[in-house]
Amino acid sequence: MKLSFQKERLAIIGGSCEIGQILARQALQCGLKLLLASSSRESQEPLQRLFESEISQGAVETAVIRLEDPESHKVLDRFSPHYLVDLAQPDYEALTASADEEQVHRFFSASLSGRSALLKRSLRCMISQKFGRVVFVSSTAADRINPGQAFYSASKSAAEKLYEAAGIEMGRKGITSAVLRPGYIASGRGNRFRTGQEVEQLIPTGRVLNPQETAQTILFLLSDSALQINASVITMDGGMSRAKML
Amino acid sequence: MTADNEHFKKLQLIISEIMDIDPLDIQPESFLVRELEAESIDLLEIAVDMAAEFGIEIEDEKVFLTRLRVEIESAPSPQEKIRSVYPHLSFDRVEEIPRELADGPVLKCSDLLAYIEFHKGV
Repeated sequence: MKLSFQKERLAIIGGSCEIGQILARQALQCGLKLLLASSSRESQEPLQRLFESEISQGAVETAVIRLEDPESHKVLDRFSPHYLVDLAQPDYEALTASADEEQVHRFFSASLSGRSALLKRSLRCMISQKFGRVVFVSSTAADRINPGQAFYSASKSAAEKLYEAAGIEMGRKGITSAVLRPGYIASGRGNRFRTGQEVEQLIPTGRVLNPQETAQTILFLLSDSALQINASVITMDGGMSRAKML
Repeated sequence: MTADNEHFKKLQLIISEIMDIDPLDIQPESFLVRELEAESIDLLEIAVDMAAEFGIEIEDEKVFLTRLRVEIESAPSPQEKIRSVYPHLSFDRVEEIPRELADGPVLKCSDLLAYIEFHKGV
């Protein structure tokens, strides 16, 4: 099945991660034009090198978008995305009873208030275009918590609700949303937790996800075929969260 | 403020298109929610189109007087509170609003026009 996309401009927030880069390549093959946003100049520069040819052809542009900096979100007004994939995720892990209050405040300011502002700006661009599709890449951590991940889990769970609400509120205006909850992925922060056999024994399919299939699923959720999957959460974890494994 | 105002004519068209209402039914004194039955999603669309048409930043809660009742609830002087939170409203309008509260949502089309002209320095 060849995926079709009725519109053309895709913004990938948190585009410097491996999944973001793979998704970008897949999206370019489908004819989409991209805004690849990373959270710092340091992570933007490698993207500019990797996509140098596409940038020179006008198919890709890069930008720095920090969740906690609403000024940096204004680039979305100019790009005016039809599609948004949100892979951005600030990092803070600590036991609930020992977390630093200042760090917690900063973490939630970025991951919730900042994310909400970014989503608001994106949706308003989409309203004027009478089309939009927003996909939030969450985690099975939104539902099941590892020790030390309370804040990560809480922010993913809350952000899911923001994205679900967007699809409910805006559905009649041609703007829909989906949330993808991947399980363990052999990429990025997943490599912190992946301990080989120990993790794979928890997964009915016997392996963790790879970033390629994760990106492919995100791309499918953006496509015309998936638009009626609205305001809904799709779990992609090999069945881990459904299983009672001994 | 009359319906002949150029800015108002543009605003009238925006509201007419979004809410599928005859422009002649949209007058400065029309209550947007109470009479024209605008819903939240309509107001959001109006805000987006206003920003594009007039080239101004729209703060939805300010232009639509969203939190007005909460803000004046325990204020010693409702008029002073309204003036401080909604500086785009005229003196007469500020005096009028508390009298209108009992009958429902007070937002009028003229309030949107006042916001536009305040932010365009008219």
